[in-house]
Amino acid sequence: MQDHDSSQPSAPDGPHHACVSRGYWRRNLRRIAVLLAAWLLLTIAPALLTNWLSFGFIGWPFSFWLAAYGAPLAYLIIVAAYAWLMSRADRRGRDR
Amino acid sequence: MPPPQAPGPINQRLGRVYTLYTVGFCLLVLLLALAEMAGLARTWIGYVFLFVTVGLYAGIGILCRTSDPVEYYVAGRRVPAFYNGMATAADWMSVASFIGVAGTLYLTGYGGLAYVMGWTGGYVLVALLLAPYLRKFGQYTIPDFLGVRYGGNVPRLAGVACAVLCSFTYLVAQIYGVGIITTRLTGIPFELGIFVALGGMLVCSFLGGMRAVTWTQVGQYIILVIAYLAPVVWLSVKDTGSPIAQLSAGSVLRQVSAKELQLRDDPAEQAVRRLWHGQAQEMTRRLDALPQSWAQEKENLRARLAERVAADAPMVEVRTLERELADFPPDPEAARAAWAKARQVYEARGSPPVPHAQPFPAGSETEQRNMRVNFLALVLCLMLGTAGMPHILTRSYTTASVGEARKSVFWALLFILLLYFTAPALALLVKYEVYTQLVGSSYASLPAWVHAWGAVDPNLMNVVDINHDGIVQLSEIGIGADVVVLAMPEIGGLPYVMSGLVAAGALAAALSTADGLLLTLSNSISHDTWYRVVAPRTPAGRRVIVSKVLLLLVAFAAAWVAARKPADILIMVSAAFSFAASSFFPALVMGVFWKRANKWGATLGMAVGLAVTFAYMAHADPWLREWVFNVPRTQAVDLWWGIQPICAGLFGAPAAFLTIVVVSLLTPRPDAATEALVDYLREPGQ
Repeated sequence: MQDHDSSQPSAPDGPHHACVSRGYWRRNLRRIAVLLAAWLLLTIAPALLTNWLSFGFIGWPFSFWLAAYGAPLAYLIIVAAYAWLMSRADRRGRDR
Repeated sequence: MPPPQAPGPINQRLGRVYTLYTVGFCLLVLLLALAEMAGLARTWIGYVFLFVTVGLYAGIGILCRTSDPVEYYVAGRRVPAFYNGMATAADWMSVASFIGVAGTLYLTGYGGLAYVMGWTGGYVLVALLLAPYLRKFGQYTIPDFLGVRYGGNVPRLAGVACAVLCSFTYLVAQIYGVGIITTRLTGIPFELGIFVALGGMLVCSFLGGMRAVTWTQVGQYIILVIAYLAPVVWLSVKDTGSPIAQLSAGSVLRQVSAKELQLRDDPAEQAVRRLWHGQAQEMTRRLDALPQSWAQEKENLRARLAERVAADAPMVEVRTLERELADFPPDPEAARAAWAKARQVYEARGSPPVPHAQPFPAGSETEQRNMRVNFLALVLCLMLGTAGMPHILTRSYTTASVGEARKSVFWALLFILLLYFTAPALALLVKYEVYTQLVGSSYASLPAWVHAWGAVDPNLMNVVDINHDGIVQLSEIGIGADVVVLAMPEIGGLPYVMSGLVAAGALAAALSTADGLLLTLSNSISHDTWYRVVAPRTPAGRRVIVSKVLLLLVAFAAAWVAARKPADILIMVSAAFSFAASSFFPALVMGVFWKRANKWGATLGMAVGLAVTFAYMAHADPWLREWVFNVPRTQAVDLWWGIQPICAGLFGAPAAFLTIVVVSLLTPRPDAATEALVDYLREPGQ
């Protein structure tokens, strides 16, 4: 689709096309919403619940480990999950 | 553009090249280690590291030179996800990541984890909300997206203004960092260090644009990650017997926490802290008696110097007094600022050690809540800022497809985590070394690195025997955040080649980020302002030449500012994040996810976001407030809900979102072509 010097990418159109992509977009939004909710929870919970998370975990105090390792690791999993889900959806979208 | 090659061969070829590169670099380090044992001088190790790495970067730049616009602006759009992720990681990890994160963790313990969380969590927003759509859009710059999506030159120029605002201060900070590192690595003067590094950086970005910068950044990532991990693994084996510092540092944390408790109640430590408090009170007394105290103190100092000279005191003492007199504030106003700062330093040094593992250590309930709120605010602000940094977002244009853009964010985050997962362990290992080796040792046998770093800048390292007992107390050690990583090999007693390696890694981190920023800045000005607005008929070849000329101008302007050694660079860098969070992030996200968002909404949204962010900073940061409103720095600041000025984007971003919604609804909806464009962005990617 790259036409490097046009100021606007061409947009293929058509009723059938629009219908397929509306479903694709709705499912995409749902995935984004679920994953963003997980992201928000993982961001806020470690700092809010420090009083309940002071037990030990593989040699670290859990609250410290969660902020230093747990949450960033979970972010990586979220990004990986989204990339995987969407490339599967893209394949299906193209096949249709 | 040539048709995209099959992913197999290009990946294999790149894999071979970079494996050879990595092995070659490791051999160089080994060779230098052997040479050190054979008696090679330290300065030479520094020179070899400086010139070999800068030469390597310049060499890649020369190999990748180009004047084709697609190659120059977006590296031909065929960088495989793995390598694009590596380049993004190097682009992202600046001096602040390499040096600052572990240093902040060392000084503040749990509080420093806000940076680890904020700077990694932002990538979730990049992957979910921005990268795939920018790739699908497939132009050259971020203002390009704003210009096409919102229609017209006004949003495009607003984007250019935001890009310059976010990137320039950040670029100055990188170049400043390069100056500090080269000075320490080789002993050459600060200004010369800046220009040597600038040379290496320019050869690369000037000749080959994004293409050269991408492949150089991959090389720089390899060097910076080796430089960060190698000494930590070494130190971890030495102190805990296990090479995986992330696991073994848990036990170090327990020992450090036990030592902290013991040092808190140690009588000698308490006595030292009282002495610091006494000095802080002396500063309060002087501040209260201004302006008379200024003349009085100056007179006292003169009298003492004369008395010591008459008494034929040791040369060192006389020199110290002379220097003190030379550095004495020139007028009462300067004295007010200097003494207020000194009071702050003395008070900090007079307080007991911060418990490393305890979240939000504070005396009172309110103070604890305040710390918690600020921790969360900083995390969110850094995340939104990360997702709005134009030099990172541009990297989504360089991948071969939408799917690759998503995968590239995954790789980028993985490579960033390699370093960020090491930082907490590094901080703990250094703390352990300081607590066990330095604290309680004698002043007669102070290690050489204490003096060496103290000579670079007393703010970085300052150990004074304030109670004259000849023994080092923890409260007598002043360590700046910037020195923790750079001095780590020396603190841990590793050979000098490791110090050189760490400095080379820090240099790679600074140069890679500086290159990315430089391209973003010059492309915003040349491509988005010159070509799109001023002279749209410029042929492709001429456009690249204009970009290159502007790149040189921007680089020299930034180097000139950095050579002035601007004060309070930290607030400028954190300002960059807040600005990105409150301008680009809302405008880009709304552009994809809300069809109704229009030109006026986006433009005014960015303007209001920036205005609110800047207003809060100017209101709450003493240095900026003095500069803008001319209010003396010593006057107390009035914070909104206790939020620190570093998190100003937390007010700016919602203001921008709200403005976009309200103004868009009050003005006509975007035309059909724009809606078709948004539909196109939302379709399955190829």
